[in-house]
Amino acid sequence: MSCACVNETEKETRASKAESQARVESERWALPRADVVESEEGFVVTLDLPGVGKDALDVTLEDRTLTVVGRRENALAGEPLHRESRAAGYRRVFSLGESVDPVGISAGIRNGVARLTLPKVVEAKPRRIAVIG
Amino acid sequence: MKLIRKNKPTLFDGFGLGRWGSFDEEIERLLGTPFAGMSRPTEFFGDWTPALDLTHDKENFVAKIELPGMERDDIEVSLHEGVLTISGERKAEEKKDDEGQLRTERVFGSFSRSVRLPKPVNEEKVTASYKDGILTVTAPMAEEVKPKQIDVKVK
Repeated sequence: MSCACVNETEKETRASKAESQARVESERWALPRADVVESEEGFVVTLDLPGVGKDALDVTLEDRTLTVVGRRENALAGEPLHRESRAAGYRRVFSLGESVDPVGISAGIRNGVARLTLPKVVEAKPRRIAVIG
Repeated sequence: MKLIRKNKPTLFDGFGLGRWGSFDEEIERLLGTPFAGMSRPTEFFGDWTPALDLTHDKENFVAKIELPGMERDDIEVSLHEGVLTISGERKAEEKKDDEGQLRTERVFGSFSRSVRLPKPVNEEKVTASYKDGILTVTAPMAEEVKPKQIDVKVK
């Protein structure tokens, strides 16, 4: 994806995937599906994180890197008969382009869907120029 | 390069075919091919195949299915002759006029998963609840009862 707004670096994806494959004992992550929508006001990133409640969701911002982590109960309760879900939490990293205003970022989660709102800096929003005369 | 997904029948009869799930999805993301909401070629009974886990303890069978972003009223749970069926439709969010879709990966639409419970259950006592995007159906084991179709209210 080549928009200069909310970008996911390939290196980061490969690094985190390699990282998670190499480790056996420590935490494993699955990559959650995400939709990104842009409007004049900003961007909305919506991620499917089934099994993740409000207390299990971590959204952290460092410089221009936004990391979303959703922890889940990996072990199955009871005796397994059939398992399709992955024994892993969710993790996805985004690098924010210049137009995002990091101060106004907000996040919420409901029914396993996390919604991140990333407002644009004022300069990046379209401005109406008043016509005089 | 388009990876061929393994076919996976959605009626499970106890032989645990497992799920290919994220591996080829991750490869597709690394290659930068936008998923763009195109329907996946191998869904038999709907647009979308949510992951289903089946476990048991001494008294109950428990089926858990990943259904993020649904409303309770859009999920149907029924039991017929020992086969538990969970189906419904995940509605896509309304897109506002001034919004542009930059990336689409999440799946929406209809789904249906069925699983044969290995032992007879007490159909009157089957319950279902929905929390954090996971639907949990609990079916207490019982002696053989007359097969009939019942509908379960999702709490």
